[in-house]
Amino acid sequence: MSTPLLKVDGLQTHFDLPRGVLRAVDGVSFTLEAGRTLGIVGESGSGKSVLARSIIGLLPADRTLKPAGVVEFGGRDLRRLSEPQMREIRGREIAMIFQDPMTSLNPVLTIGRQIEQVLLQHTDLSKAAARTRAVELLAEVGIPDPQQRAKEYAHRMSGGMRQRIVIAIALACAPRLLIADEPTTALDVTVQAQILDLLRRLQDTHAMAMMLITHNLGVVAEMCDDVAVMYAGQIVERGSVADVLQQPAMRYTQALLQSVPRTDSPSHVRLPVIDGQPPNLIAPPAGCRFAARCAHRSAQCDREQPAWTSAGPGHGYACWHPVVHA
Amino acid sequence: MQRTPLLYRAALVWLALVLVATLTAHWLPIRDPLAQSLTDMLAKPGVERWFGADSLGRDVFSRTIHGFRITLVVSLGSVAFGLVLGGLLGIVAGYFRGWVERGILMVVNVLLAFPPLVLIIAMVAYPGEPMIKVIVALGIVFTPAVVRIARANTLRLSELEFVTAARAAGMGDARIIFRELLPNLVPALLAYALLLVAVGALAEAGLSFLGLGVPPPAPSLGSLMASEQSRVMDAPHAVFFPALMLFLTIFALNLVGEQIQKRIDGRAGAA
Amino acid sequence: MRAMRWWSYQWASGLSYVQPAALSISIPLGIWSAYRRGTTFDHATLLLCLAKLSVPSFVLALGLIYVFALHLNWLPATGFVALDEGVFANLESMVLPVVALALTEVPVYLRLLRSEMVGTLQQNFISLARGMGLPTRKILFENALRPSSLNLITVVGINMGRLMGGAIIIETMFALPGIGQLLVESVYQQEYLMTQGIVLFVGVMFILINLLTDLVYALVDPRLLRDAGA
Repeated sequence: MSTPLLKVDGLQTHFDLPRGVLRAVDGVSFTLEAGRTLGIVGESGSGKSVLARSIIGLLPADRTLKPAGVVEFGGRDLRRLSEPQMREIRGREIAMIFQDPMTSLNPVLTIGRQIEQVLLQHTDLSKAAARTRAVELLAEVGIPDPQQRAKEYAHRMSGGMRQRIVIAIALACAPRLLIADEPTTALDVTVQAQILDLLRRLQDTHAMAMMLITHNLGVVAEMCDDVAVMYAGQIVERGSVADVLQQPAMRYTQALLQSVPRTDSPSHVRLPVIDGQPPNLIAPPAGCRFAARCAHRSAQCDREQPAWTSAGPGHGYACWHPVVHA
Repeated sequence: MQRTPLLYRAALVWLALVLVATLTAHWLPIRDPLAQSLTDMLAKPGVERWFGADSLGRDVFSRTIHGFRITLVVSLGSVAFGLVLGGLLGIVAGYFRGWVERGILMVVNVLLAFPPLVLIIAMVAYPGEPMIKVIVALGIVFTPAVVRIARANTLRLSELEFVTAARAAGMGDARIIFRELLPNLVPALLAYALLLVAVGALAEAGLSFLGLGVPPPAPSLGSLMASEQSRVMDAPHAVFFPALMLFLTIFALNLVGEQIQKRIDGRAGAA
Repeated sequence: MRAMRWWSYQWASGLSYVQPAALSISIPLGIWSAYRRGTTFDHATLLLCLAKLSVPSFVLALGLIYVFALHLNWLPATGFVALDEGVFANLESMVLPVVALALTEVPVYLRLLRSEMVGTLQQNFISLARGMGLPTRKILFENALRPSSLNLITVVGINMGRLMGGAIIIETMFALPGIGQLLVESVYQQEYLMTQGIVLFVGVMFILINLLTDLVYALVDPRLLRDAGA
C-alpha cells in the first residue's frame, strides 16, 4: 500500500471562546489516496467546515487551539509548518473552494486578474504568460468567450458561472488536493449537476484528489469513492460509498439515510426525522455523542465513547449497537 | 476588551470630580478667579498655586475651575436646546410623514449646508446676552443631527406593533408621541447627547478662544488660553494646564459616550 | 474680488497637502488595525484616535507651535510664504498648519476605513485568496483595500469641500491668509457682497469636488460604472 496523499490522525481543533472552549473537531482520523474522492457528510455544526479549514490552516489565529493531531501531507505535518511554509502549499498543492459563489469573487478585480494573482504567486510565469494561461483555464472550466470574460468583473455573472471561475482559480496551479466545502449547495439543481460534472472531469484530467464536504447524500453517492460521516466533531463511520450507504453500521448514518426523501416511497407518509439537537460542543457528553437522539441507546452508550470497530475491509464505525445486516 | 472597563471607570470618576468641583466652585477654598496680583505674575506652579498664575497674577487653577462652569452651562445648554428642538422636529417628521416631513427635512438640509461658523458669527453679531447667544447658536447647529436621529428612530418605531395598537385604541396623535414614542427614543438620543456635550465643550472653547464667546473677564477656558498664548514660552503652565484639564474632560466624555452608544446599539441590535 | 482670488489660490496650494498627509497616516494604520482587530495595537490606535478627537484644534496648534517652533526651532511659528517667493520657504511655513489639519481628519478616516475593512476581511473572496496562499500584504492592499474605500472616499471629498471654506482657527494661529478669515471678517464688517462671493466660491468648489469624487468612485469600484452594453 503506497503512502496516502493525506493522512489525518487524531485531529483536534478547539476554539477558545469567552463562554468556554468549543471542541469543534475532536479526534478525527482518516486517509485519502491520491486521485480519490472522499466525501465528508454531516449536519450543520458537525464540524465539517472546521475540519476542512484545519487541514488547509485557515483558522482565526487568536482563538484557535490545536491541542493534538497530525495532518500529514506529502510527508510533512502541516500543523507543524510555519505560516510562510503553509502559504507555499496553499494554492499550489492544496486548494479550497467555498460554498457561496456569489461572494467568493473579488468585486473590484477582473476575473482574469484574480486567476493571474495565483499564477504569479506560485509559478515563474511572466505577466503575459499568466494572462494567457488564465484565459486557457477559463476555457477549461467551460466559460464561453474566455478572452472577453477575463477582462470583465464578477458582478454581472450568474452563480454557476462564478463557481466555475472559482474552480478555475483553485485549479490554476494544478494542486494535488482540492477541498470543496459545499460547492453546489447554493446553486440551482440543474447547475449543480453541471458543476459536479465539471469537477469530476477536471479531477480525472489533473489526477487530483478531492475532499468533498456536503450534507447531501445524493452528491456523495454520485461523486465520491469513500465517505466519512461526521457528527458533533467526530467521525462516526467511514468506508467506501457502497459500504456505508448500502450497509450503514452506525445508528446516526442509518438515521441520516432514512431521512432522505425517496422517489419510490409511498406518498403522504411522514418523513422519518431525527429528533433533538446536536450536543453542546463546549461540554460534550462523556459517552457517545449521538446517544441522546438515538432510538437504540443504552446505559453503556451514555457512559463510554464507542470504540472504533471494523465492519469489513476499509469500513469502520463507532457504535455500541450497530445495525446488523443479514 | 478587558482594559476598557478600567479606563471607562476612570473616565466616570473624572467626570464626577469635574462636575462636583464645577458646581461647588464658589464654596471651594480656592482663590478668587478675578483677583489680580502684581507680585505673583506668571508664577510657576507650586504648593501655593497649583497651576501657577497668569500674566495678571490671577490663579490659573481657580480660573480653570470657574472656566469649567461656563463650559458646563454652554455645552449642556446647547445640547439640551438641540435635543428638545431637534427631537421634537424629528419625531413630528417621522410620525406625520408627508409634506410635514418634507418641509422639516428641507429646513434641516439648508441648515446643514451652511458653514457652521458663519451661522454662529451671524448670530453672535446680534445684540444680546452673550451666553444665551452662544447656547442658542450652538443648539441650532446641533439640531439637524438630532432631527436625523429622532426621525430615523421614529420611523423604525412606527413600524412596530405598539403604535398601531395605540391608534386602534383611539389614542390621539399627541398622546402617542409623548406617551409611546418619546420614552422609546430617549436611550438613543441620550447616548448621542453625551457625545454632543463633548462637541459642545470643544466648540465653546474654540469660540471663546476666537473671542466670539462669553467675553472676558469671565474665565472661559478658551479665552483663558487666548489671553496667555503670547506668553507661552515664559509661562506655558498658564496655557497648558487649562488645556490639559479640558482635554481630559472631553476625552472622558467621549469614552463614556462611546461605551453607552455601544451598549445601546447592542440592545437595539438584539431587539 | 481679485484679492479674494489671490488669497484662495495661495491657500489652496496648502490645502492640497492636507488630504494626502491625512490619508498617508490613516490608511496604513486603519488597514493594520482592521487586520489585527482586537489586539493591543488595535485598542491603542482607537484610543489614540479618541484622544485626538478630544483635543481642541487651537490647543493642538498651540502645542505644535510650542514644541516645534519655539522650543526646537525647527519650523517657523507663524506666517505664510507664497509659492512664488520660494518653494522651500512655502513648504516650511505650511508644515505645521498642514499637520494640525491632517491630524484632525485622521481619527475619522482611520475609524471609517477600519470598520469597512473589518467587514471586507470576513468576506468569502478574502478567504479564497488566503486559501490560495497569497501573502498578507497583497491581500490587504490589493484585494481588500479597494472594496472598503467607498465611504472613505465620500468623506474625503466632503472634507476637501469643507476645507475650501477655510479653517479659521488654524488660519488665526498660524497667521495664514485664508478664506476662513476673509469670511469671518466679511460677516463682521457687514460686507455681504464678499460673503456671498465666498459662499458662492465654496459652493462651486463643492460641486467640482463632487464630480471628482464620482470619478474616483468609478475607478475604485467597477460596479459603479454605468455599463453601456448588456
